[in-house]
Amino acid sequence: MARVVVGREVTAEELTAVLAGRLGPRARIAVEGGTRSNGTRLGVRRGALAAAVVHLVPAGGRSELRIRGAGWSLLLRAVNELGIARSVARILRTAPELGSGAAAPAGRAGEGETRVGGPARDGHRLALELRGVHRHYGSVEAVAGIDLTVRIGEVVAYLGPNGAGKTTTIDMILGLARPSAGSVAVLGLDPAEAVRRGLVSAVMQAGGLLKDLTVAETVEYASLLFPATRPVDEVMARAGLDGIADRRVGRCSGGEQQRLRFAMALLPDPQLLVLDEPTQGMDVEARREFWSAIREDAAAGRTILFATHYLEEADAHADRIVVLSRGRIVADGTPAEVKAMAAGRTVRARLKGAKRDELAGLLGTDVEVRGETVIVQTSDSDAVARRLLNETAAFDLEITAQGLEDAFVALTGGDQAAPPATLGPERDH
Amino acid sequence: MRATALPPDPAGPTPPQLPLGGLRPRLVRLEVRRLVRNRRTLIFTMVVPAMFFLIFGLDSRYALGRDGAGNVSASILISMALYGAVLATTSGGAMVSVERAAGWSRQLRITPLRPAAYVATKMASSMVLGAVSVAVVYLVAAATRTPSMPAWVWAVTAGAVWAGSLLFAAFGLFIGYLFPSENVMQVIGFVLMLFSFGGGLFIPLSQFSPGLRTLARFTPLYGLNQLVHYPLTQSGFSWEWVANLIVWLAVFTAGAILRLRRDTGRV
Repeated sequence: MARVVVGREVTAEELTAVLAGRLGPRARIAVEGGTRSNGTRLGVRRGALAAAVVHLVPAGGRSELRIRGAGWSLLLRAVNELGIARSVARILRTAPELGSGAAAPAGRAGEGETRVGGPARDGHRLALELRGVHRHYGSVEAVAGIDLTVRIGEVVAYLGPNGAGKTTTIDMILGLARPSAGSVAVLGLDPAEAVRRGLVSAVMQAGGLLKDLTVAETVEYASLLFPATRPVDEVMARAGLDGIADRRVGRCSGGEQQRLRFAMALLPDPQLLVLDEPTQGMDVEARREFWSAIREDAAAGRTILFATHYLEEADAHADRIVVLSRGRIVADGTPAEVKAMAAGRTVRARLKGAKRDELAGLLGTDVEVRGETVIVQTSDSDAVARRLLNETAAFDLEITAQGLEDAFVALTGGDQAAPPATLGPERDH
Repeated sequence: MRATALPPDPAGPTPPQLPLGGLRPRLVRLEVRRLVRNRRTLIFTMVVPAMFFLIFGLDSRYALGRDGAGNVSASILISMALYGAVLATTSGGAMVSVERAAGWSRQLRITPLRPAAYVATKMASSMVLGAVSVAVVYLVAAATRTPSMPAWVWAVTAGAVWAGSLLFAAFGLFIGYLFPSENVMQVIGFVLMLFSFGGGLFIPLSQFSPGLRTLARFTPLYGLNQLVHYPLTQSGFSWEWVANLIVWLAVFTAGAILRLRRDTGRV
């Protein structure tokens, strides 16, 4: 939680406007009750997951803001950088997690490549920082140079087809694999150290369970592997395991086993939760139940990185989508941005003697020529169609919209040499 | 909406530590429960050794035949108890093979549990199973009233059998890390049978041909079997037994550590 004192009175309306301006159209801000005398509570939600509460308390010509929840640092920044920032008197007192980010001595003891996520102006720490990460397996380059930063409180989908390098990246984040080159820092620490402190945990794709234990025994077992955990009962309830506590793990369905892995991952109350293809092989109902449990958890403020190859899943549950293809990041942005980027149309026409090089100059680089057929992937199909008809002898023109899956294929199946696309406003890292 | 407190600051001064790197009695209890749940393990470590004693140890000639401070039946009791204990501890150690196949070891690697504490947990749970096995064989034997030896020999040999079976917990771990398959238990059953013959648990070594007898002296159960019988026989002590025990303990422990290193270091 952060507590900020502003040197003048701020009204709820003004604060709402400031936050709305900063957080964009996806934000929903609503007064959640409270009286004028003890202040106003604003519930802030952005996207499906991030959520925070701002308590605005008048304090004799000044206002005090108490911000808590997943997006507190984001809100603090909003308050700081916009409108009323000029009159922010000082940050009176901050909770340890805010203060120590700035105050903590950088570069704890450890290996040379251990890095501390550089605290930003507002004392913000990074949940994850990958710099120039490569990983080879023999001559195969599973991860071919990844730079990725995830801030605390973000819910990030790591999207890519099978074999794109998702699991390899996750293994490096969890300290199960070491990068061939580059560095990985989890909450500013070496991954193995972050694991040892219970700061990061994971729901793996498959395996990792003992068939001869019951569900409750498995959670108990896992709880004994950490110096301090959430109560077993609480974790079981949150993962929806109450009804099957005494069932042998070997008799559980895939969805139940996945919820069990989720419960185990919740035990250390990690700051960063990593999910590797969490709904692989689940039916629709199990998938829905699983995500509702995850969403509840994310709303409570946890940083989540999940790998998936379903664009719909990424779209529905993430604040941000990072698209991976052949070991490289090819897109990074909000779901809307990534979809807009990928949701182009295909313009198809016939053209006698079509030459790719000539057409590329006219229509952009995404031109394919197959015999007499010209195929163009574009986000502006009108312009492409106009040019084809006006400036070439093209005929038999046809425009088709891409489905989400096609869009995804377009994104991830692209030219390997193409530089990663930058989306949206520059991220501050 | 639930307002959860944010987790503790990662750069905090002293992160809490697992006591003993994660070796905890409750963990051992859960591991024992798993062992006991496996019906095949139970039959082979409890029922079979006791049955062997009932079949081979109750011949009336054995009740009369003297062997050191007791009778032949007592000597067979010690052999069968050792066989059971060794099966129990080996099975316990070899469970790591199943766990590796199930991806459990990988899961453990993303927890603060130290590999050494995990191995210690495995050893401890194996030894609990071994203790139960020894107790069952001794109680069944005592109920028949056929074996005879001084009270202190009963106690000392039972303790020695149990303590000595630790050697085979290391052996089980070694095998468990060596073979990645669930069939490891069958391999173990066969190998331990050979070791038991070599150690003279089933047939006295004096009945072997001279060549076989020499060979038998280098098998892993030979030294241990001679040592645990010594309180009963009280004769012919040989440092060769101790050497045999120490060399094999070193081999199994080194093998297990080497394989464990390779397993956990696979990054």
